[in-house]
Amino acid sequence: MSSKNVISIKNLSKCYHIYQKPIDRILARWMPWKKRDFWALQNIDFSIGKGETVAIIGKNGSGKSTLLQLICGTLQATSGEVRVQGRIAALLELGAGFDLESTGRENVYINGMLLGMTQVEIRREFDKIEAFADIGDFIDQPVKTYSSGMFVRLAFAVIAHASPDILIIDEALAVGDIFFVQKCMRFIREFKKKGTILFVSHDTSAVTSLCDRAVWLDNGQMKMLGSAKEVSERYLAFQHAKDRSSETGEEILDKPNYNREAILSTTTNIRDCRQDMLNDSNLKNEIRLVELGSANNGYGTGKAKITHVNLLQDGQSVASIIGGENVSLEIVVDVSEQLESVIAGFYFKDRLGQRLFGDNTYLSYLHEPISVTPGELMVAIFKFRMPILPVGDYSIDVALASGDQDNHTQHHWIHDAATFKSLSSSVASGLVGIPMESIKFLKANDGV
Amino acid sequence: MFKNTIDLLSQTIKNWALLQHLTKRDISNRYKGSYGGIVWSFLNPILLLTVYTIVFSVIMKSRWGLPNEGRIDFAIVLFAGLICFNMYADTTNRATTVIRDNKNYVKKVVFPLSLLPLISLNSTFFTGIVSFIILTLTVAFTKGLHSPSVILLPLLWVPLYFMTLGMSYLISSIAVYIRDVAQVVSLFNMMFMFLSPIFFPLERMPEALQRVAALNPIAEVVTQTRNILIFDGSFSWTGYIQCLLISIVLLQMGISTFYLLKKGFADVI
Repeated sequence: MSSKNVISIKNLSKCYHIYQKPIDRILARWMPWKKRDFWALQNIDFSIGKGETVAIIGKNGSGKSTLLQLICGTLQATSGEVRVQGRIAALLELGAGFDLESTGRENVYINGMLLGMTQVEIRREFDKIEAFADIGDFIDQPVKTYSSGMFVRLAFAVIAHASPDILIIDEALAVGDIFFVQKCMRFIREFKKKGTILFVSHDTSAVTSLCDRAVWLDNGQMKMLGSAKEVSERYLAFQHAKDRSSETGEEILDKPNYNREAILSTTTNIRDCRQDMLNDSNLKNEIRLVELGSANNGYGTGKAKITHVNLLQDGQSVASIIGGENVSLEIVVDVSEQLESVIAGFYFKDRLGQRLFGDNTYLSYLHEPISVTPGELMVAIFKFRMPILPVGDYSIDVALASGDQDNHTQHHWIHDAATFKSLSSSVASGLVGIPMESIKFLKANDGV
Repeated sequence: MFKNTIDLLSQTIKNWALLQHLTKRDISNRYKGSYGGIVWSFLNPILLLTVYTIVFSVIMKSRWGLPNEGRIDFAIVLFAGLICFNMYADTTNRATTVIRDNKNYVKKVVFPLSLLPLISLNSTFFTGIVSFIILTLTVAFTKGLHSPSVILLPLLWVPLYFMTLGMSYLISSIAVYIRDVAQVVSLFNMMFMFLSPIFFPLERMPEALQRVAALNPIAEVVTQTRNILIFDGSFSWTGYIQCLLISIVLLQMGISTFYLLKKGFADVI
């Protein structure tokens, strides 16, 4: 077992001492109260076998980078041990080993040698490295003139050709453009076949698609170790729950206090004719609810308060939905003052804040405007088919107003009440995809 | 204790190509962007020697006190001492920041940190040796080399190299933790310069200081360099071995300190 583990980590802890003043660093030897301990990592215990791809996930400050640095050997552990077998190539930070004054070419040699290549090897691989980086004549310019994209291109190109046994990638790839990231991903997938990869990312979709296992770090502790899919799902759910309770500062009931089932009636489903096929493929348009935003992020008179925003499917609040399927958006409002002709509405926006679609209750209740009395609980439910969304981030604004379409007072508007992530998509073009009821493409003279 | 020294040796051998490359880069970086390039390495000592001759020999009419001392003699003797001392002073001054200046190598990549002081030392020694060549040529043309012991000159660089390296390791690792070291080192180097017989012969020092200076490897190296290059060509093996031993002790101390403190570099920087 141990011979197959390329990285084994036993009881690893890292403690930083924090001092008020630099002089305390010396005094602390005799006056221990002068220092404060900060445990960046505590009792980490896991091992990585040859050929495995393992992700480390966790929010900022959870100890991910510290762990990687300990594995690479740039940091010394306070206690416990890290054992590594084989040549490590780490892309810890954007072009970290680069000397700004030297040219790209010189830096390729320096970085290559740092990664354990000989000068002969580098000379042999140089053309390939240059082609991979694809930065043209900039290769002979000092790297201080490079853009951040060029930096990471060159850094990654060297690593890709150093033939390491273990590849460690910290979030550095985020700055590359889409074509380069694709190129790197192809390389990583190829590398996976023979080498071991340790991958740090916030992007849970990349984690699930790339990694076998995942380690979840939270405040320096190992919270979970398991299959990549399981861990990233639990991680998202946890973050989501935490955001809800910590930001609004009050207990939020999972389900508002009314008979939801009675209000939601079933209607016939219109489905995309390819839905079943797509749902089984990797083009399944899974849209994940990332977080329910803070109720404070909005404005209004305060005469009514939106207390819940949920996405429902089959009467249940869900964390992910599938583009092309029926969903209900539920907005629950607590009314504190007498209001006439109330309207509830929402906007579905893309990453840039562009409003993709939206609707409100005005027209449906045009002839019988709703008036509410203080203390009443109002529920608005919009049932619609979720369009198929291109990969990206989305959010919903919700609002409660009184008046009419043109002239109204906002009582409560919440920006980004809920945010979503679309992980994969079959949308070929356009802002949204619409479920196609049927698609035919025939030779006309067949008589159909 | 010797484990560290062995580790240092094996690291150096393992990363020989890297060390070579980085040293070359360090030397060329000094003249990067200038039109003269490497020519400055040669031009500098020549100009310096000319200035010394004019200032000390012509204007101030300083005399070293040699029998039938020529015009250029004082400048040559002074220059010989300064080259040795500057090798030491420049390297130790750079050592105060060499680790901090390479933050990336400490924190972000796996880099054999023990190479850093070595690189700056090698690059200063390169300049020093070029100066020595200029000096030797000048002596040969003006006074003539009258002793075959000139070939022992490179031997004298060994204790100088060891001592400077040892002090570099000591200073560079402590300076990571205590920034004040930079101030202390430049002051200390100044005092050290007067404790080495750069501007005057050793014999002119007070008796007590002479005994202290005897323990100073630089003083020994400077005196012996002048002897074989300019004066009577005598070479004292006992003095040489004594100063070699002192320099080895200093080197060993430096390496041990560096290895002890190295572990915390990434935490402090």
